Amino acid sequence: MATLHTLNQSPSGSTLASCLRCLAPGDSLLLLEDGVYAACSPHVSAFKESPCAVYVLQADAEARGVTGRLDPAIETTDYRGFVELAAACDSVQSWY
Amino acid sequence: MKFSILVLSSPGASQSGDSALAFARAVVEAGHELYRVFFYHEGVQHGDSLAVPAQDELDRQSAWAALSEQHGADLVLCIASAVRRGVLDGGEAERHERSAVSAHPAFELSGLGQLVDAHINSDRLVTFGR
Amino acid sequence: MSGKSLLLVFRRAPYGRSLSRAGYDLALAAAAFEQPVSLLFMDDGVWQLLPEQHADQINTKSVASTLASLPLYDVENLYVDMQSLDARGLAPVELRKEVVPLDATAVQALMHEHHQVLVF
Repeated sequence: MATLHTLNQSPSGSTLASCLRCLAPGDSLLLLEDGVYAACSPHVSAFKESPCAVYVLQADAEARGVTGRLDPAIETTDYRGFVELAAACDSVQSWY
Repeated sequence: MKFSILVLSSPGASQSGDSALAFARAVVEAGHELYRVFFYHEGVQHGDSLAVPAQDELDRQSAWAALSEQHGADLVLCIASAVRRGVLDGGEAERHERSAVSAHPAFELSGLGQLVDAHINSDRLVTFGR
Repeated sequence: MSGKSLLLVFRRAPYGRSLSRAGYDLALAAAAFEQPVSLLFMDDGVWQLLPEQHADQINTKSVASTLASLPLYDVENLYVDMQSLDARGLAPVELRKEVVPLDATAVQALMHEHHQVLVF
């Protein structure tokens, strides 16, 4: 079962760490709302080793002025892409 | 594919209600079915018609109502959560002897069975909370 | 039991926020509709499992009475994340007897074997 995890919390809390240790190979992670800060240094190092694909919601990164700080290895996406990711997996698990 | 959405946070308290709306719109734009949007816990405040949005703010309630009208998605407020927070339809206002009907007509008050039904009958259930 | 399995993950401490109660109510509703339901306690959610909670002191309903009623509704699969216990200086023996401790690998597996995971 491949799961799309969504995370909307800033990496300064405990939610990112809890989410990361529950990711399994084949899962993917979408960072949205305050979760986009996790795609910036230094926080991004926490999951650069992860076998899972990580995405960040473009609109939330732009709103927060961090598009220039996003790690280039993380793919940006939009809500259309969010729906596609949700359809491509077996279930969606939201962390907040 | 059938999508359902679970909304746990109120419109003002965080961005997650707006993310839910944007996701719901993207679901229907992609040609999928939006089976049900279930508002639970603080999320029921999305259905409070007595709340007046600021002039320069998105009118979220109208946006949800329009989505429901255009695409036939069920908008359900958990009845226990709603009544506790003063979001009452006519029946509940009368039952609890309250002076106002506050639930927007586009939203139906119903039990958690509707969320369980959405879990059973949807292909994907996506949660938005804070 | 057939049906789509549901795992409810409790990540928050009791009483400070009311979201956990919403999770318990959903567990009971899912069980009433004969869907297999399991509960996992992790992060601050492990605090829900302490005995001797006198919630009447803060004019609220005790989590303990809710947990005690779960088996009556056939909600019997309760799990706790060991890493969260360790981080809080808690030992499984201090918790309610019917909770099964899981290591990280087992937590991952538990999530993956359920159709849907909802976090409270």
